[in-house]
Amino acid sequence: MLLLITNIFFKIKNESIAILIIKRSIIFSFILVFTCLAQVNNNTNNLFLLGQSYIKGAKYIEAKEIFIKLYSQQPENYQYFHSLNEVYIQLKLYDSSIVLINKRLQLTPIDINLYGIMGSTYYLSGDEKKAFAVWDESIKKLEPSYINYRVLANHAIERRAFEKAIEYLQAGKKISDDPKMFSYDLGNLYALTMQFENAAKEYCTILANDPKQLGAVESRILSYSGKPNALEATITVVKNWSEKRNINFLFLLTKLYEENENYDNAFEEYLQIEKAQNSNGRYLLTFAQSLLGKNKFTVASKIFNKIIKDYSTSPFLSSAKLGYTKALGEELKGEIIKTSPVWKPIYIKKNILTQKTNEVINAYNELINKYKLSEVGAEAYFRIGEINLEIQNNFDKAVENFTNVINNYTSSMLFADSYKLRAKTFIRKGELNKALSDYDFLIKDGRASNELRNTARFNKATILFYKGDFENASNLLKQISNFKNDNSANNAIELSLLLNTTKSDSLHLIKYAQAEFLINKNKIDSASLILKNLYLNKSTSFVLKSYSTYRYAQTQVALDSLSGALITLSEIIKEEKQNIFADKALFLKGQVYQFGLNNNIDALNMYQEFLEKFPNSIIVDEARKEILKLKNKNE
Amino acid sequence: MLKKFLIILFFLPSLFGQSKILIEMDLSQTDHLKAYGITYNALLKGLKADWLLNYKGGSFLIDYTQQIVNECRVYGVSFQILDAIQSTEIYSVIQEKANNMNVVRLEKAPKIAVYVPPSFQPWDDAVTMVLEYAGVPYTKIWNDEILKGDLTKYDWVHLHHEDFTGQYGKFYASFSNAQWYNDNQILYENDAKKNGFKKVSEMMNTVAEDIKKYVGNGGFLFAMCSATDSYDIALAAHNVDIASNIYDGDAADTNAQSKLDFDNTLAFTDFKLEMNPYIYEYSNIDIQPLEIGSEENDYFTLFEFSAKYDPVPTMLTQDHVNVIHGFMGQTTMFRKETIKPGIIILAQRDGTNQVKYIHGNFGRGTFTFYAGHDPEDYRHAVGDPPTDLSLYKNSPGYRLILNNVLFPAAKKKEQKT
Repeated sequence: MLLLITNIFFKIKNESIAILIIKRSIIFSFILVFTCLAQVNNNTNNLFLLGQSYIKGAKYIEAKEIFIKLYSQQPENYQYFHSLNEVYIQLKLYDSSIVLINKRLQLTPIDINLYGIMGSTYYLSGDEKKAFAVWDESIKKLEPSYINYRVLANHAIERRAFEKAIEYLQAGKKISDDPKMFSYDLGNLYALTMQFENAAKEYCTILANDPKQLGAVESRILSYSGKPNALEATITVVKNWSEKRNINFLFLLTKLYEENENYDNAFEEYLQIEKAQNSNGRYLLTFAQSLLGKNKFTVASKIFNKIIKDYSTSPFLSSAKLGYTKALGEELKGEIIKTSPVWKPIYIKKNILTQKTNEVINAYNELINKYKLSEVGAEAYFRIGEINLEIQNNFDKAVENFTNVINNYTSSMLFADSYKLRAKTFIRKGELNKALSDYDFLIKDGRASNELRNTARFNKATILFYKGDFENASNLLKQISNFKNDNSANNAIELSLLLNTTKSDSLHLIKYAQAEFLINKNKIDSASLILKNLYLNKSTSFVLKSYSTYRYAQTQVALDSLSGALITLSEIIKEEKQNIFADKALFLKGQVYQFGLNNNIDALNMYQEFLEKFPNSIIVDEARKEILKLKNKNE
Repeated sequence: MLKKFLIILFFLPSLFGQSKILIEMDLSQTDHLKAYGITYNALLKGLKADWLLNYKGGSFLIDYTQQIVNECRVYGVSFQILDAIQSTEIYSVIQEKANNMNVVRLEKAPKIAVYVPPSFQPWDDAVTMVLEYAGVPYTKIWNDEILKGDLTKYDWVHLHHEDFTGQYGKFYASFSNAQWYNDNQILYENDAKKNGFKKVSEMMNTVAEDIKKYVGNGGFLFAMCSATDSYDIALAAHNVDIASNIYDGDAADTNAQSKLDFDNTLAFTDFKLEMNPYIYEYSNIDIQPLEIGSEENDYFTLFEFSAKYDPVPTMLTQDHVNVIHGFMGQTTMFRKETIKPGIIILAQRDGTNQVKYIHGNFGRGTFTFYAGHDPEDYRHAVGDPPTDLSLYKNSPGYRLILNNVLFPAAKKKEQKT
């Protein structure tokens, strides 16, 4: 180019023109050179992109050609090296990969990542020993650094050589300024390989050095605590951790105990926390409230009580008292069910837990004294009323408490329910008109739910039945039967059936209704006498006799006249399909043997006879369940 | 008349002085599934039972004992007690040439093994569920047991959702971060290491080959859902790496498709692999949801076989209905074009190439593949709660599984064809 310009220069006499031409020529030649260079770069880039797309499309042979070419042009380019190696690996050309990496190592002999890649290649080729040797030697060759260990650990993890990765991370942790990060990775790997004890040790190390990590540590441990033996192993480690133990170990331990449903141990740890933190029962309260949500009433009430006793000036005292009373009340209900003969269709309600009942009532009264004008106060009155009615048979007191809610807490959530229970109490007292008036209120009350209104309708119909007003009772029952999805609908159909099939024998039906009323009032012996007369009376209509006999047998069971009950039930069973209660009688006979007389052999025979005689009965599944239970017991 | 006499003479030893319990399996049956359990347990007790093929939905006739009667009552299985004459009448009806019926004597309760991992699985196995519901005992086995040759202890082996290709069910795209997926992978890897295999895919291939040997030696194999196609794919890929690096560390063979050995498979041939590791599908054996269309139209039909000449497929297709609602799975239905010639198609979606249920012989044994996951849950997704079988006592789809359980109990007779 310069030769050309010089020639032109000598040929052109005009100096200024010549200078101009030289200037322009220089500019032109620069443009030309840059354009050529840019063209070369563009081609290389396009080739690289093409190679990448071949890799994505799994066309590794085509990709190999491109990357060999590119790498030979620019051996120092890391991207070309990496892509070519990837292609070799995909094509399982492990020897070529090793050669390539070795060449690269000559250029950058202190690159730990290259040793990592080389080890990986050996590992993939199936030579695990050589892979580990390459990694181990690289550590010796290069200066000891926690970064090097981490890089090699990452390569080992990628190859799923977890034990080797753990080895490197442990080594890195020893020389690192921030061992926490290594501990997290180690904890993860130990948990993954189900070495839960070691995982717990790593997490304890973190917690010992940095208490702020509690949340992170807790969530890591809980992520695998459901695996077999994980929780037990972790608890043992955390409990016995002695190095630099801080308060957070207690918090972690309580969580682990809770997870393991070992609430007593968790309680002990919370007591330690309270002592250390001086928090006026705050932690205990949270724990007890969570137990209440899990229906663990006994331990919850114990904890609430502890707060009430030991932290009398605590701002959490009121919450503790409310929680305590609720837990106590639920516990009482559970105990009453446990001590009642619930297998009997009718049983005499006796309260043998007077001390515990009084304890619950006192606790509710305390709440009333403290929070009289709030919803808590309304609930306390309502719950006491419930106890008066269902547990103590103290109907006057019950009416007083429900009336209190009705008169003084008109906006309470329990307003309508108080009406319902007051009406129920009036029936028990024999004050049927007052009960009717309460049910009438509920039927009209816009705040009562549809279900509650239907319950009120059914109960009103039952009162009319007790009073012998069968016509109006029937009409009311028809209204309920229209609500097919309502719980009262089935009861209404049953009572309608009785009324419709027996109303022609109204004189005896009135007596039957009286007996039912007496059963409701818990006067079972008086009811039993009436039913017995109906059963023995030859003039009682056939259907009503069936009802009376079965009900009489039930009262005999309730009165513990079991041998008498067995005779009555046998009478019903004898009638077989003519008696609509024959299936139920046979099942009840089995129950009498099973629970009343502890005679499992005869009970089993009764249930089997039941299945034989009444395979289409609606209670057939219950009989099956009892047979299986008895068989399992015998085995 | 002479014929009737001969029939009575034939069954006389088993009828003499003894009543029978007839468990009808048509629409009158109150609990079809438990009926199989009753029959299986009767065999366990050493009683004789006859399977009355095509007689009232494939009924069972069992020697009378009070214990069986009580069990029927307890488990809610409807039955009738027949005297010798009534039983003879049934036998003679069945033996009538004009009736497509047959009697198969069930002799011995087969020993059942279910191949299932010991760890938690976020899905349920229809077979273990129905075995438990019916009260049929079984043993769980896993790779260790198969690799040490324990399969010979069992007459019937069931495979359900396991992946024999070493690709962990191809769940990577959706579940690679899920705890259960990682636990599963570790479980397989540890198993492979413990049993001396470098890769999971290699171990699974050996397991698949061992199962094949078991069938060849006279075993009964029943597979459902993805165990069907993934099993055959593993057999076809015995000489080639089909698992991508995200599954086994190294790359899949780029020419894997051309290296498949279809001569080594049991049921499928000429299928095309799905090599993309992120796609939740193994091959084109499985029918895709788009091809199936709407759930409302998804029904498959059981073929009818000659009970007297083809008792085996007849046993496998005993049911109280012959059109059954479909159900999906990782493998929902088999593409007809990929099924080997000679394999018996037991059920298919009418007018399509979608096959639900197949049966074949290999060596001295047989295999049955039933596509889909849970016959009473159309789309049983990962993590869904198990189906409560007490709500599906008369499930025709589940009955097909239980046919397979009793099938090995049948006395082997020479085929008439």
